[in-house]
Amino acid sequence: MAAITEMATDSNDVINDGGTGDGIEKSTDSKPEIESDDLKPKSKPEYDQMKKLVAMFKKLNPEAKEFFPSYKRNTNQSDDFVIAIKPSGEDNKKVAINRRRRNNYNQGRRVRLPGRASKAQREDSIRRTVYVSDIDQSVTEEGLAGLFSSCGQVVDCRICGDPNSVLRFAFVEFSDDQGARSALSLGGTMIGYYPVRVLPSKTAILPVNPTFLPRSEDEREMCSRTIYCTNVDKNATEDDVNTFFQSACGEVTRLRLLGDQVHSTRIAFVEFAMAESAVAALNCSGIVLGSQPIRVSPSKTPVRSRITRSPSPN
Amino acid sequence: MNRLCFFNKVVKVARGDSPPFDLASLPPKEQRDLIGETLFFMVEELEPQFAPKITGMILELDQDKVLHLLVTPKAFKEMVKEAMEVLAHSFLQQMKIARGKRC
Repeated sequence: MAAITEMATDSNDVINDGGTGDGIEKSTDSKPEIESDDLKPKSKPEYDQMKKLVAMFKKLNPEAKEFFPSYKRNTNQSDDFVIAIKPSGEDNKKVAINRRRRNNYNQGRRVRLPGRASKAQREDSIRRTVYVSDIDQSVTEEGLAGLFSSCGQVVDCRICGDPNSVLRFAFVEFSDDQGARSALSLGGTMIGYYPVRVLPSKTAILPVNPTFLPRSEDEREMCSRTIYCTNVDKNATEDDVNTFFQSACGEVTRLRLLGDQVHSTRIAFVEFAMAESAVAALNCSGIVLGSQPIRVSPSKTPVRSRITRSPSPN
Repeated sequence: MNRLCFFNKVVKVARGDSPPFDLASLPPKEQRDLIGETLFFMVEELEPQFAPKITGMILELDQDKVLHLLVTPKAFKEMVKEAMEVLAHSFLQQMKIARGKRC
């Protein structure tokens, strides 16, 4: 049987191989039956009979187009059933292609989902945030938030010291896009002693870990006296930072220096005795402490006492 | 023309009882369709699932050989069996190709 299959598949090799022998045997077997079936038996040379059989087999084409009788063509259900079980090459290729495409689609979706989700959230946050610049030193975050609350509900407000200017810049986040668009019309408004500029923001405000937010009115008051300092030289000590801010801005009541020798810079939270000192500290952005220019921002979190240390008396 | 009547005509033509004029007078496409329907009916008895494919394969052979198969049950069964083997072999080849492409 295998030989016969090969004969049908590859005609050139079959003729040269032993398949021809099988062909001869087959023709010998079938010849008497053919004669008996015919009403008029005809005697033919064995060679001619074999040649016809070989030619017949050689023409069997597995890629032949299917033939559907007229009564079958009108039945869609039957067609679907037939298509489902056809083993022809074309259908097999289609199945493979579909499978491959589906896999790619799934993989793409799986890979993109987390990225797309966080990206979408970030883009939404950016759309709801405006960038405010040319803010003079007398303006506080509460004051700025109060002004912009006329455009919509203010979710967050951050004032940052500008290392290159005595004026500051801020980011204000609203609860919806409309608030951010309305805020753009406040450009040029006099806040403090200087008109501010309002532009769409290109970055989002990162939310503070809720566990670090002030839990009471006292802690909120502490926040107003606290600044958050980044890009601190890793070789600086708490005493260095304390001395610096005490001499530049005023009395320091608490200080927390975060980080270790592994990271290139450290972070400091500095609590002053008076809110005015914290506001003045924003001017220290850009001043070199150790070997790095520091950046100062109002802190969103209070400096809480360590359990191992008793609170220092004020 | 119903199937049975056509079948009888085909048998007569193949056996030489009737002049080929009856079949040859039809347009080629109509000839193929009539032969195909008769052939499909017979193939469906042996291989109902793959009848359309096998019928298509056999119809590509010479018409006189196809007519010969219609009146020779033994040869007809052998041909259907052979077509199934060719089809199965081709299917296996397609599987190998698909697997190769996938890797």
